Amino acid sequence: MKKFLHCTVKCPCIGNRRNAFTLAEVLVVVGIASLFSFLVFRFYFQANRSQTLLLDGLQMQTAVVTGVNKVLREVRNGRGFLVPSLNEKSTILAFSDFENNVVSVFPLKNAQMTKEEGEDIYDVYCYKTDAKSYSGGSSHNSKNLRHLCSHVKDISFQLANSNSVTISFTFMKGGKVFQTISEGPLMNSGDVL
Amino acid sequence: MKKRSGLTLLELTIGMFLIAGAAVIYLQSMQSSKKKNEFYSEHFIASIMAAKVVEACFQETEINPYGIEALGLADENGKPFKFSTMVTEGQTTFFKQPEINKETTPFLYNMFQKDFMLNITTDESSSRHFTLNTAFKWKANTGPGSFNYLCRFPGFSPKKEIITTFAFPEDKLEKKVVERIFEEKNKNLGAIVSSPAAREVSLATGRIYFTCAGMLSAAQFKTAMEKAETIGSEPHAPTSAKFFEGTEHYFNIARDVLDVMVYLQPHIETINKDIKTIESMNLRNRSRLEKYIVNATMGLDEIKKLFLVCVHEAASRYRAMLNAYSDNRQQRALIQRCLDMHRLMFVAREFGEGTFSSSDANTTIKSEYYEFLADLEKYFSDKDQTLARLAAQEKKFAQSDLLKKRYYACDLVYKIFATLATLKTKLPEVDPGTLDPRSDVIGKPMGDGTRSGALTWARDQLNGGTGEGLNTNNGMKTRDDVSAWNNWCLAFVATAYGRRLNELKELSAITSYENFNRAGKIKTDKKPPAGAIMYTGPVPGNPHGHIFIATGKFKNKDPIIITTGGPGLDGLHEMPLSQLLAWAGGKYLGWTLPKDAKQEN
Repeated sequence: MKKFLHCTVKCPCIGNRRNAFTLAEVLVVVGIASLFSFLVFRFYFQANRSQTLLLDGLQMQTAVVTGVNKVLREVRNGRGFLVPSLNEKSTILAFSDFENNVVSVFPLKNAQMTKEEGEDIYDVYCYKTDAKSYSGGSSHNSKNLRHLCSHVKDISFQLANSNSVTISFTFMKGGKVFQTISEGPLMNSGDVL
Repeated sequence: MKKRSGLTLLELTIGMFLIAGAAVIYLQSMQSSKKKNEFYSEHFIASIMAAKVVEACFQETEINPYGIEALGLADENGKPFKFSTMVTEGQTTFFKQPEINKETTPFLYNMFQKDFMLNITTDESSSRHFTLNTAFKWKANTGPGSFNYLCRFPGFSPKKEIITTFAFPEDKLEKKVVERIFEEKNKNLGAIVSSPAAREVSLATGRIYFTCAGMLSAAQFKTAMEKAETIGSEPHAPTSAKFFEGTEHYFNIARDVLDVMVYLQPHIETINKDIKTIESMNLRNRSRLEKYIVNATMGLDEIKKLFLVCVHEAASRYRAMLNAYSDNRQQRALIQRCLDMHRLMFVAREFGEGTFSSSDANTTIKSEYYEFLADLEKYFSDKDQTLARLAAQEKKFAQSDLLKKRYYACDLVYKIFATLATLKTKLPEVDPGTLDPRSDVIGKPMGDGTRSGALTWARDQLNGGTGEGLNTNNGMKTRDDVSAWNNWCLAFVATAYGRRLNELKELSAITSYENFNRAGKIKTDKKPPAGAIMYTGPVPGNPHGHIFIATGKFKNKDPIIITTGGPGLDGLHEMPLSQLLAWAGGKYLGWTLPKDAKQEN
């Protein structure tokens, strides 16, 4: 019996170091590793997407707040509206300021953004015609042109009354739309007589 | 010991789970940030929308002190209440233009559909202000959110401050009252009028009379009136500077008059309240004060007419300018002025008798005002909701007689005019040519031959007078016997005239009447001036007719006379002519106004 147990051939399994995984072991490990990497990559992409969206949203909000405020600030310098009329809607706003300059707020198409978004996207500008130096010509002074906001898909002005204008904004960035409606009052609402 | 060359399955699994756990935590935090971002977006939109609501309230209250009520944020009595509505589908005034709907603003519509409510709580922080809490509340996927905007708005029309340059200086008032009204020198008012209430009436009379007289004769006031009338008669275009100048003149005159009336209002109240106290004064002083009260009332009447004419003229001119101007803001300012003018006229319309020569003041003022409001509401219904709402609200106020309650200036003007009207009913109507009482005939046996002397002497024989007049026919005086002049009417009138009128030297009243009648000196109307000699014809039992003296005062157009008594009416009496006719009978024959006999002599 002792003899029988004593193995004359050097068996790799007994008393020696094992130097390879079995097929089952390898398959299990590969399976777990693929699952893990799938999860990790999925999490990674999701997190990355969420972060991008979050940043886009924040950027958009900042752009909207800044844009709306800039337009409202311009309106506040006004003394009387010229365009639109009381019962009209318009994509441009024109008013006279307290120095009798004519100030217009209008959208201008942004070619690059339009291409990127696949829809017409505008920048909104403000142009002041200096009443003192205006000679009646069609040329304009680029110093009087100021950029107010970007990513504007649509803007419309409607007078709520002769003292204030309701401005509807639609912003678009990365396919995401953001809308607001704001009321812009004229600052110099004193006696005009 | 053998060296381990790889990780065990257990170790790998633990490691993977750790990494996966960390990734899950990271992802969750990203998701939460995304949600927060969405929440902030909603919050941001809510804040912009709340600002829009607040701005709309500012716009409304800028032109209309009851704008909060016009917007439906306070009830019909102007009392605050809570307002709650969905934002979408034009359910609220604030988002009707432009309307938030699926087609035009889908992003906003979707956001507001998430149970987005506009809640406004109006609180009356004081009787003059509303505190508006404009709150948006929503229950979106991101959880419940709210945004509050607290703001104060006026809910009243402000009180008018009394600033007038025409007020008579207080430090000079008492002296002027003593010298001018009572014709005394170097005396205190207390020495002339002992009753404190009567003293106040005297001072109030002085304030009103001298202020009105001072204003109407002031150079700056006269110049303004002349300029207004001159420019008003010239053909200027409503947009021209001249037309505007003329309009401003009318407006400024009306404002100056209103300021004066505001200043005088408590003094009119004083006279109205305490006029009876002057009865305790002696005849001379009472007569003088009474005359000045009447004159002061006439002064007030004069400036009242001036006020209504100027306000009406200014309103017409502002309306003409409104039709000519196309600038919306100018129109808005002109509408405000027009409404101010029309409101004042509307509340004062019942006191405007005789103001407009062409038509009835009440009808003219009423129809012009309603017409203007209807035009305003119709024209601005699709242009400026603020103005359309204001016109509709104003019409409601006018129809419910609420203008006085809602507008301080209207209430004030109505009160002043109403007090003035009440005061006038308490005063005898005095002929403008009423004579100054003559103090030198008081206590004398007869008059001095003048009309004023005759009247003063006659009044001195009444109760409260000295009664020293002597009836030479029976040697009696009313001081001793009230029936001293019973049946001696001709003697009484002749004595009042100092027995100097030849026409009265007759045996009967009717004969003296015939003397005047023959000379064509009898007038048959019932408007005898002060001191006029009046007659009634004979009646059965009295073939001599009757003669008596006119006081120059009237009660409901009925002349007040002083007459001697007779059967059934002892003594001397001051009464309306109608009462005398009822007592004595006989036909009213007329009156005559003798020239001052003293002057003739």
